[in-house]
Amino acid sequence: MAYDDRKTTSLVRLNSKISAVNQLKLEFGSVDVPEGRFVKKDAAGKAVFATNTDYFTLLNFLDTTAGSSKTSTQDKFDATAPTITQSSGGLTGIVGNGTPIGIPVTEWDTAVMAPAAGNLVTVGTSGKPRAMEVPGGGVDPIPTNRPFFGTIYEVSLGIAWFIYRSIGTPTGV
Amino acid sequence: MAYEFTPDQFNALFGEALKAGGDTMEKLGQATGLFVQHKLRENAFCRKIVPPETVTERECQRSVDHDSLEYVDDLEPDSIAMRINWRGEPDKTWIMGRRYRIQFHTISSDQFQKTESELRAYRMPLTKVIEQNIVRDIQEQEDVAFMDHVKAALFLATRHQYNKLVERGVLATNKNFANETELANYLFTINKAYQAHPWAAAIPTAALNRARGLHTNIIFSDQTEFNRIALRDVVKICAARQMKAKTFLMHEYDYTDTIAWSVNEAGLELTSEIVKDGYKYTTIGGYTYCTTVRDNPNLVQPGQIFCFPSPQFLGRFLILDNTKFFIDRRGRFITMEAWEEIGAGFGNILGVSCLLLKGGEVTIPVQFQNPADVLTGAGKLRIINDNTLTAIPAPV
Repeated sequence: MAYDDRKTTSLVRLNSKISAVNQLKLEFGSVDVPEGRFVKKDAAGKAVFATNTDYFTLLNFLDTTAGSSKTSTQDKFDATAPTITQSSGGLTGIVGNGTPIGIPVTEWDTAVMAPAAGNLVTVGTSGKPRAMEVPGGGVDPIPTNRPFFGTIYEVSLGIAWFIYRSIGTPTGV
Repeated sequence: MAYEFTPDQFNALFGEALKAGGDTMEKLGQATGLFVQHKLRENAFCRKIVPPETVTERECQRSVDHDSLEYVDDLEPDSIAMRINWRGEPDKTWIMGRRYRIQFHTISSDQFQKTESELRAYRMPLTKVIEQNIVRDIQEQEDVAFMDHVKAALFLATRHQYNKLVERGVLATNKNFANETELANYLFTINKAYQAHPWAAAIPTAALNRARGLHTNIIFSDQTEFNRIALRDVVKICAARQMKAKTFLMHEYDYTDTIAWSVNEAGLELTSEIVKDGYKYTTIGGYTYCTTVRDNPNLVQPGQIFCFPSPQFLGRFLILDNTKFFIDRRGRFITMEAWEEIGAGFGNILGVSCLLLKGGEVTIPVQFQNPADVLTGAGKLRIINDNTLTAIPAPV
């Protein structure tokens, strides 16, 4: 059964009581951030996509298209007018501290390889989670000093589950 | 009906509730909630400009995209009349109105935590902690969100008016502002092509021709203090948009200029009153005013006078959940938190306006477009009504 046939939870599966999960608030920046992407705060405290060299990431818990994340001002009498978007509730970033997280494989950066149990979790394009093999792996081994944020322990029913840590662990150190 | 408590009574109730817990704690939460609500109504200036309306879940729509509610509000459909002769009949029009949606979001205080032991070290009444740390935070965020949209509306409304004048042939140029220089040129000289981008040189006084209410929703005043001339200029903006100004908003810093109003500004009788008691009426020139003393650059700064039409020309401020207060004691630890669910939306931004006194400045979000409506830039623009005309508006 594919994950979207059993839509009883959000895109980010959080196998933990919400009260046990630390969160940080980020202001909406200039880009939309889908649920399940790795983000960080820029100098102004606004949410931007994390990159594969960052050593601290947060996992976005709610899509920015949700009304409680951002609002926009529009000129309703001119369809050619631009929309000016601003933060309302902002984004909620999950602070990983050994937190079990499941994200559908379709949301991962699978340009090189699909996630599999035992892979390390790194940051792919546009903040997508990306699975890389342990050092010395055959297809896509993680380079030295590339931080990773957890390890995949199960891929089932289209969901890749991993233990998430916000503080990146560099390989080869 | 709000309960009235003196600080002593409230502190006694608080101490009792902490010990008893259960129902007493709930009663305290309710009583404090009403107390919080009362203060909010008094203090958030956006509620004086767009009076809040309470809505229920039944009046809202569920979003199909996410787990939140939306309120769909109607916009008045435009219509025209025509003159025809006795044998003619009017054109046929299939009528259709427009709608816009208002989304709800939560404004919450921090979740304050303290131990009972540490609370004993405080001499100040606990009600003050609640008022200062929770109520103030929430009301300020309401106003911040309101002013974010007001400032965005200033740019969009100026763009709208500029394009309308271009369409009418009043301004012999092409539509839209493609960059900050074109906008600044227009505001300073009513000629967006006055000098090339980027801003090259200060405008000589002879070339200065500040855009007025007929041209823009952001006007540079030649007045240094708040007076009736400044008020006249800003309310004219609404008159030029086919609506009537209702409320203006300014910092208490500028409002204090009324104390120095002389016979010339206020007449003999009123000046006598001002000298004794200050200006004590709720309107000036028939327009309601509200002021704020908050020192927050995201709200209203000295030198800015904002003006708004009646709410029916503006939008809605909706309250889904009025301010709720939560208080809990677990062991030695006391937790306090307050939150509310609100939504606000401007269906019509055309009457939102701002006058900058000499030396005043405002930072607004902008989205520049070329004449073909293609986006050419975005960001925030700091607009300064500089006395010497040497200030170059800089993207932030």
